[in-house]
Amino acid sequence: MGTTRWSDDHYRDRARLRARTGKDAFEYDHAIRTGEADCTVHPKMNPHGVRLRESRDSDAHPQSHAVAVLFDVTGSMQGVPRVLQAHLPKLMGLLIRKGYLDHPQILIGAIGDATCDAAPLQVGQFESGIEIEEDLGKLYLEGGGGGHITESYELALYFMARHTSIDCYEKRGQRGYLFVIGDEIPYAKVKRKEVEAIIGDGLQASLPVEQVVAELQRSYDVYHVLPKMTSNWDNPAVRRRWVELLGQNALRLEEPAAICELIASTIGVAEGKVDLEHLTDDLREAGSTATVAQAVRNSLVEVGE
Amino acid sequence: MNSFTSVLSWLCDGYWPLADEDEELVVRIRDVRHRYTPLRLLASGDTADIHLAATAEESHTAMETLYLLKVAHVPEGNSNLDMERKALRTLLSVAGNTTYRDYLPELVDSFRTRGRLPQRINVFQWKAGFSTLEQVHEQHPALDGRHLAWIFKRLLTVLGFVHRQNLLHGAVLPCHALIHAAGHGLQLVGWGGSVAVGQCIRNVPARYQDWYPPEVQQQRPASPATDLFLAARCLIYLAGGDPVTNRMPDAVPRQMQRFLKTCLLESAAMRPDDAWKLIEDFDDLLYALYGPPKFHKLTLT
Repeated sequence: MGTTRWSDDHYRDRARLRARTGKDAFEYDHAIRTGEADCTVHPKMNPHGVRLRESRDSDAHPQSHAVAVLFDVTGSMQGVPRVLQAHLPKLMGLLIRKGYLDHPQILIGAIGDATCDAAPLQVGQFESGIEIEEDLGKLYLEGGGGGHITESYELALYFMARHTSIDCYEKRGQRGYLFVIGDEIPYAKVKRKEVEAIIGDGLQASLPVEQVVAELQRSYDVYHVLPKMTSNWDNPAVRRRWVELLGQNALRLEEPAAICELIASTIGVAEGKVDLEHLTDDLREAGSTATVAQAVRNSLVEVGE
Repeated sequence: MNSFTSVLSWLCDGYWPLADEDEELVVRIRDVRHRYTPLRLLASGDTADIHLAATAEESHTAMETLYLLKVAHVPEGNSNLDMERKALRTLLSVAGNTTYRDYLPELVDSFRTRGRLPQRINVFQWKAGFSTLEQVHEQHPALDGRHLAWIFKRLLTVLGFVHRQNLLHGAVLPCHALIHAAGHGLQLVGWGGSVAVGQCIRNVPARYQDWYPPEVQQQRPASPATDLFLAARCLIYLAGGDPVTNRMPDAVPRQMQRFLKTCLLESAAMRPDDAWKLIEDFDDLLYALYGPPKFHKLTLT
């Protein structure tokens, strides 16, 4: 054994294989499609009548930090929601291992189309355990949507603005993180009737989406992620609208399987814990392709500057 | 003799050294076409025995020509050894002459004895200088974070390689990880419980039953995250913590504790499942904690 040169470095020379994505854990969706459950929102993911989804400090998580991830589950997203579902359970561990957030609390939600879908909005609780995966399993993948490029993102933004309460902001002045993932754009207004029907609030009038975004940005850093392999990846109108609403926080993701790396890196940059010079290397090491790493870096350099 | 006893755990849990040679076994093994001469029965377990042996042609005392014979003595033992043979043949063949080979026990021969009740025998090259993590723990009940660092990285290196062959070790436990203290090396042995990714792990050593993650306890399919879970528990054990409750002593840096706990989440889907990605993250952590890598000597007697 005297001649053996022990090192773990040589694994770098091997071709990287993409990590396996595991089982299809959209259990509730499967139950609906096989007729075992009614075609409706799972009770625990139903926003109707919910006063607040709360992210709170506790003995186990003394410095909780809210991270919300809501993604479009309509047909235009094609196979991407399943990819997101398979990977998102790993987000919490990645944030902790990277040292970006010590106590992330993650909320999972899904966005449909209020004009024609059975489940236009699904929102879980802020969680820091196995419930994150369970909430992902409770999502119903709508697969519908209208024949246009609008979905009910504005309802999700409204819910997050008015029906969440997060200690990281309220106690420490640190904004939470909100990621909206999808290939379409919000309707121009949060419609009074839809809010009443889906969330249960009585509004005096419909609200312009810009007003809701401004309200939301008081307590959250809001990002939009446009993933590749969706119907509107190349549609300039989609990108343009999100840039109008969120400016540099409109991101593009070439490899949907790298969603956790993108979210984690974005948070790392915002928390000042990622050196932008090394971001591309970090992402490549994290299994993203060189192109994705560069694309993510390009998006995030804008954010960081 | 201490170095010989480090192999006591090669098969699985429940081995103990025997004082006397088993003459009957010696005769039986001599009788086959493979001419290994057992010198001493080192250990005996529920399903198989481990003998120190030499080939008939070679000196019985020269350390470099010694072998370890794993001999099944019950039918289940035969199937375990068969699985070990298949897994190692695959892994050694893929490893070729790369350094991955050093992380695996050198299977030099495997055969069935003749007769009415044939026994599977796996033969390994004996190598000096290795100690099981159990032996390390005995001498260093609370290993320093710098040593945990290289041991974990070596474990992740070999697991990353194994997982890319669509295999799981299935029993990454202190009795199956041997370290080479002088060279900071590691060998993963005891492959009788290995399964393909997605299969259920059924060979669980009784002594370590509590260490296994929920997917094994509930007989659900195992994944690379299962091996990584057990690897993290080995580290807690070496650190002087409680691998069953995941409690770690205060001497383990907080960041390292948090890191390990992400490998120990209840849900396999929430845990990391790529050992090589994990090394990258671990390297970043180590750099932040200890600065550039340095060699830290681990003394074992």
